[in-house]
Amino acid sequence: MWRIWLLFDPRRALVAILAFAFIMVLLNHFVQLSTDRYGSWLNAPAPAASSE
Amino acid sequence: MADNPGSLSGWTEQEAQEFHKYFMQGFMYFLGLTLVAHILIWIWRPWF
Repeated sequence: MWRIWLLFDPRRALVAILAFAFIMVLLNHFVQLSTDRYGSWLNAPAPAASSE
Repeated sequence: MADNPGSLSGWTEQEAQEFHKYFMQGFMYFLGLTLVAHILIWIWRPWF
């Protein structure tokens, strides 16, 4: 598995992985914010009873 | 970073193995944190 670093330069790989992860985290948080179930964790109490 | 003609990235095997050790350690921390976050969210509001 470590041989991967003989193929890809670790510095560039790290930057690429972190950039990709950041985009995915950003996307997922906004996707969750757009749902009914989790879309209110910032502004309003839960639509349904939150103790389900 | 010693030049090692054998590898495409130019890193030596020893350097690659050392980097991999720290890379995997960091990745495990990340997974741990993510797991804790998801457990907390599940306790708060399960999604199934």
